[in-house]
Amino acid sequence: MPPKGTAQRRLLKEYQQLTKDAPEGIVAGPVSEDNLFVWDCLLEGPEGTPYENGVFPARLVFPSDYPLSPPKLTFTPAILHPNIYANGEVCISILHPPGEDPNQYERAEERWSPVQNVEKILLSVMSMLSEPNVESGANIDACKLWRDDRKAFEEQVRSDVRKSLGL
Amino acid sequence: MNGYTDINSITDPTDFKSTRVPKLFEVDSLLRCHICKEFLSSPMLTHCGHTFCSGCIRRYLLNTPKCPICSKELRESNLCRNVVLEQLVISYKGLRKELLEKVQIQEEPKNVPQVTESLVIENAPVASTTPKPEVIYLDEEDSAFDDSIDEDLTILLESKKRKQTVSIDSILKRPKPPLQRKITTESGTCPICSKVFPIEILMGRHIDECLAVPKPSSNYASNSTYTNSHTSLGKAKSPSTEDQSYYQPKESNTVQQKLTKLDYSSLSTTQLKSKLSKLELPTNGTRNELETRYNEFLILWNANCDSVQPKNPKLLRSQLAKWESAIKVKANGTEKLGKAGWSDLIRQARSTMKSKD
Ligand SMILES: [Zn+2]
Ligand SMILES: [Zn+2]
Ligand SMILES: [Zn+2]
Repeated sequence: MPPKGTAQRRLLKEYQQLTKDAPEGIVAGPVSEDNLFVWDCLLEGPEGTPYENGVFPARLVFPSDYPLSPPKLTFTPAILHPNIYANGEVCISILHPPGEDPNQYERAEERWSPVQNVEKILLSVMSMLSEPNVESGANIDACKLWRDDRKAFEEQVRSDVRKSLGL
Repeated sequence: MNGYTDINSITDPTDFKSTRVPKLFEVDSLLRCHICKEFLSSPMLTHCGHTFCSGCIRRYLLNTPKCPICSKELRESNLCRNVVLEQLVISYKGLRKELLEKVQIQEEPKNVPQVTESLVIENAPVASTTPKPEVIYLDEEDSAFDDSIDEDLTILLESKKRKQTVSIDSILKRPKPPLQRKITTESGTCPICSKVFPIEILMGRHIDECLAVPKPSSNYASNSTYTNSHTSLGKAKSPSTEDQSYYQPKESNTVQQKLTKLDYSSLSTTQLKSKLSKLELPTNGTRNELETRYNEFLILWNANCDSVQPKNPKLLRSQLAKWESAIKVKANGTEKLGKAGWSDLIRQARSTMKSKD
């Protein structure tokens, strides 16, 4: 194994903690032992939302100065959501350090800081799935659809979920 | 330190979750840094009441002058050492392994008979329930990479410890501890001279004798706040007197000067190189690498100044070298796709989902 720096040690700890004590509906861990900086995640769609019953794979990519800088989270494949870019990248405040947030109004406490962690990010994503924030949308089309034709939006999501499960 | 880490050697508070005292999870969490998740190393208190490792918070403040927890404005000058907490962490780290063993559900609370225990120590130190010889505290050559104290788990550690004892010996020029540990008897640490004695001797005559002898330096007296094993922790078992003398947390005699930040915009590369070489640091690499190197060394150095057990500057330099190599490994790291265990997990999740449907 390669030498471990601060970032790797912290990632290992977070992984260990997540395997022992993961929140419901969340699985996450490094893609390989050789590279702790890339994680695969699986998120179950929250109940009572159109994402219910879906299992969404996502990839977390950590910077070398983690936890000083936040990781990037990308759904692979992308899912239809107001706060997810068309390329799958998630845009929520916890993934932005203070000052770098494109959505200026968000409170600093919700932003990235080294005291945040993978678990908090994934929990934020779960609540993002339940409650989209259309005021700071990333996917304009999804925002419009969500606002103007909720039924069509939900139908589209459900259909994507079924397809993703091969049903 | 070898700089190599095994996943099993990394501890976290969840180790206590399934024990007889799951609340220890909280204690274990509270003694850790919110930034690195390791046990606090040279903890610094902020003016907003939060605490981080000196190195962690200084590194963070280089770019963001705010508290990572509450976002209040924060500068390095607002940081204050928290010595008692540092000593508490050191003490806790020393007893964590034993504590964890004692609260395991499947284990008998009663200890194995004395004779057996000493045999175990001699032959298979790893399996023993004896507290770690605390010599490891000064061995902690680079907590940023390898938080040796909290990973008291395995064979890995035993071998590491031997290696380190040797290297530290040569650096600190201290007498080498005996290779073969003495049979463990109940012993305690003298609060005055910090040496370890069998408990009967300590209680019987030593403390009185010790009090009667004037100390050559006031150093020991200043430590008396660190109440040792026999007052605060009950009787400590210690492998030998030699070992014990290693880890007495004490204020260092040499007051180290903190390094200051450099204004790179007004510094030529030649000047920067000469700064580095004055600090006995390598001067190779790009301008960017030189600046990064100075910045990281500044953090390591200043954090070391905050420690009650400052390390030899040589160790800081080797820590810096390892940090640089870890960065390079990351830069060259290649990404490999899915290990078998992982795809199993995905398959499993998919089938659960389907059955729910
Ligand atoms: Zn820390
Ligand atoms: Zn604070
Ligand atoms: Zn004494």
